[in-house]
Amino acid sequence: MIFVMTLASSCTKSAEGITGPAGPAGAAGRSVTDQRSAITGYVVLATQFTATDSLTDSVEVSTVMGDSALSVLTDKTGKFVLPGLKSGTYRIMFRKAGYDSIAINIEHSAGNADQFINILQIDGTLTTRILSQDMQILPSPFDLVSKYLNLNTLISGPAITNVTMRYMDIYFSSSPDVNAHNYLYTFNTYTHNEGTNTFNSQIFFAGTDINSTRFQPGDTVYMKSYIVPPYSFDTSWFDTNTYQTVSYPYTGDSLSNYFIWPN
Amino acid sequence: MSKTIACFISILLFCYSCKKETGVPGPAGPAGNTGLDGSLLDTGTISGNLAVYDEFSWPLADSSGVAVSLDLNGTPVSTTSDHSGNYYFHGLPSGTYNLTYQKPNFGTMKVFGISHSPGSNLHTIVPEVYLLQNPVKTAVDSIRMTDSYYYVFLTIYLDTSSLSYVQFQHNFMLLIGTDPNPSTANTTGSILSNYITPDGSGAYSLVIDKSYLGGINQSSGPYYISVGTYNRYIRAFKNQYSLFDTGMGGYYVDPSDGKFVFPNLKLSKVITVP
Repeated sequence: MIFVMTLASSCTKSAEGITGPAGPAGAAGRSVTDQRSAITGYVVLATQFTATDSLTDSVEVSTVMGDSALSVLTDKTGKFVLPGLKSGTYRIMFRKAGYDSIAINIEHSAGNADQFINILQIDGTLTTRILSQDMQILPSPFDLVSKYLNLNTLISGPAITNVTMRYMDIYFSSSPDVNAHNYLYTFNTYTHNEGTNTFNSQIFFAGTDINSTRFQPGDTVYMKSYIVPPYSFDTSWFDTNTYQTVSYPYTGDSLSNYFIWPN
Repeated sequence: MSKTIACFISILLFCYSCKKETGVPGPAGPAGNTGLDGSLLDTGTISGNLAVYDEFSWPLADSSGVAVSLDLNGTPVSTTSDHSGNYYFHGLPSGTYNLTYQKPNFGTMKVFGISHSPGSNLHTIVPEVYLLQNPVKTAVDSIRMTDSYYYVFLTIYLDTSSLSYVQFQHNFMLLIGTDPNPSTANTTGSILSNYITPDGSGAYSLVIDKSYLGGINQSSGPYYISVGTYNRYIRAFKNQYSLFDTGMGGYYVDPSDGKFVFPNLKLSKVITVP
């Protein structure tokens, strides 16, 4: 009888009804890639002589997200905002007619805050040409033993003054393929006669990397001269198309030349 | 027999209760919990190193005690630098972070837009940060002005107790403007610190060509001048492998207006050029 009672009472309990079906699935959590934020910064424009330019707006700033191309212009303070970018690595390109174009690669983790990438300077495109270059190898007036290279380089206008300054980088090598990435010795100069179009450079061989341990009498020393802007931030960038670092500021016109190492 | 009856009754009762069980199903249960926030699935460490400089531009041996903070989805998270100047934020989800560095009597520094993508065991490294002490003895104590037809001559005095100390010219900032309270916000292009020279007896002199006043617009006076010190030209690196540029420390760019912020700039009283 006790068995019966127990059974009956257990039956009464289960008679309250059966458990309903499971509720619907909860809402999906926030996806990492759904968090978006802007990449923002400022672009300062300079002339090709790297004097600050008063025109600071309307630089085209563009990037690609997935299949979408995004493009914005800087405002009059130089500010740009590329909004709503998912996390990823972006190539951001900067372009304005008459100025150098540059690109930078930015790793962006999105989230709640915008990514501020500070200030970039872009210079006007160098239009200066190297017209001619003559040189003499002369005995050093200091020790009467070593020699120096007296180099006169004529460039196109405007004449060199404080506000139209340009610099010249000269690279030396034993290879005819001398350039800004392949050289033994480099020399940066801005020595000039104010108001003329000529750089005058005296390059002393003693104590430099172009000395007699590198070159024997009769060897050919190859050189290449480049016009470069005088004052600029280094904004070198990595080009993922060529897998090479692109130096910025860019060099301007160049001229190849050579001389025979003296006795 | 009675056992058989009892068994029968119990089966009957059982069947009756079973009938009850086939009643209407209860209501659906509550919805499941929201899925995990994807950004929280991977977390990682943001770390960095900082150095602390006194007002005479020498690094302090002890870089501890700098409060470093960031905002984690609306919740402030804070840590403190150790003796070597290292600091760590562990367990941070993916995102972009802005960091603030505070120490009493030092200029508050900020770093914006640190991109943090956890996934490997490597830390996200914040570029080196330098905190500079706010000027006290190296602050401008007073300025004497001599006004002539073409020029304004300024003699700048620091706290007299620091006479043995020669301030770098690059540690001065000169602000000239038409606003009675010249500041870095309302005077652009007036940083002429290169022309401030020590006179050898604890004072510093500066000559201002009056044609410069007002800049390009040549607006009429009066002009208001303030000279400040900000001690950002440092004397030695704390870390010999430092990438820090002596001319570039102790400031940041404000993302809201693109202007330089010099957090430990201390300006003098304003003097007026009629």
